Amino acid sequence: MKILILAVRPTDRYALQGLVAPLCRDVVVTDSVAGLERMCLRHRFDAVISVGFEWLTSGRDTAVAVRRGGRDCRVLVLSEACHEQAVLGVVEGGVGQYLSLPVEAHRLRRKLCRR
Amino acid sequence: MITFVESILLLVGCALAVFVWQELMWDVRRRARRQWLSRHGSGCASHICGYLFDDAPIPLPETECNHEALLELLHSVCTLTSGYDPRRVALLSRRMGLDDYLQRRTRGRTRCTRAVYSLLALQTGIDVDLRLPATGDDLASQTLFALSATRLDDTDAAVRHLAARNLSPTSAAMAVEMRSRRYPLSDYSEALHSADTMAVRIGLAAVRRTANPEMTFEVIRLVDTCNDELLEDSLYALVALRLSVVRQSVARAVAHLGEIRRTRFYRHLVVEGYSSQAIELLCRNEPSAAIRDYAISLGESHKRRLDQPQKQTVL
Repeated sequence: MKILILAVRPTDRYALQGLVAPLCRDVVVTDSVAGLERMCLRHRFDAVISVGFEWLTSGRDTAVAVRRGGRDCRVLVLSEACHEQAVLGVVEGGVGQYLSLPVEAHRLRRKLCRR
Repeated sequence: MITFVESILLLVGCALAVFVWQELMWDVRRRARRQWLSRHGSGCASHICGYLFDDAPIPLPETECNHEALLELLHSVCTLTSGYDPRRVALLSRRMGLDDYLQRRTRGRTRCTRAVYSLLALQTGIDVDLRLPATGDDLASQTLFALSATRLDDTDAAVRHLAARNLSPTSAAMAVEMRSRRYPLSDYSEALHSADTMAVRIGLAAVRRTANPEMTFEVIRLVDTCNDELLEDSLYALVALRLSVVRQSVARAVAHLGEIRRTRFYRHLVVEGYSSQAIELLCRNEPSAAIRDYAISLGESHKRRLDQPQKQTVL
């Protein structure tokens, strides 16, 4: 299993990396949307975890690059609890799962494992 | 003999030297923190998560431990996740030497950012002695003091503890937010009935957070009462409960707010999805024509897409 993590704060990236470590050792981290696009164009990931969803609402074609891997690539967005319309917009933008923070560790892992 | 101009120049030079020294030290600390994280961050996070969620053995402290970076990492883990045992975090922090580090940081007159940062780590259960100076408007000590109440199991005792301090609406909301991470925000009805303004403010912050419909009558009563100190808190709680704003009492309460606050409230109504008709009815008695037009046009522009009939595609 290959996972890509997008988080601006370095500690968030390491924390998520530690959280998903029991599932897989092949974890790639990035701190920018440009990095996310670049990584998705180069590699195929089984799952993408993003802290925040600004990249979906900025008008960029990042979702297209992320969804390049087809339906097998699970896209999980972790964000603070926000308005229902914003969540709907994120889901319409191509996100598989929206999880509000704080998220339970085992729940996140179950979401990643589910086929 | 030093002249007046020379002494001024000397003082300015000293101030500049101190400023440069502080910046330099800050940069050195930042680099050290970043370097430690890039070297040990991933492994350390795996150990921490393993201990907190997978019953792995407690990780051994690093030989070259950067406490600041470790604290950030622990804070990130605890902010992103839930369902861990706070006692484990406390034990972990003791083993890593974070308790002493936090004691040093929070001692004396702390800077606000430092204290807020530390208290975010404190909410995870790290036991630190909160003997802070009780200066009047010191946000850092106030928030730390508020945080100590989040460790009380009893809701009423926590509210009393918080109400003893003059908290701003933001600090009250922050305290409630922190408390909600460990204890369910169940029953704040007693706080809403309290004669103490601060206790009611904390209760309203809890209502805004949970949107508990059982508190509807209390919130409407508070809006009707039109207490100047609690006006804004009760109006926002009313919106959080998704109650109708087309009421005489609401219009009266909104009229008591200043121009900036009224504008902000109307904008909040639009964002929360209230209909343009409801906003228009509420704005009927708005004294400022500019604010009225702004609120109505904002509501209409927000709703326009929904109001427009869908175009039928003829094949």
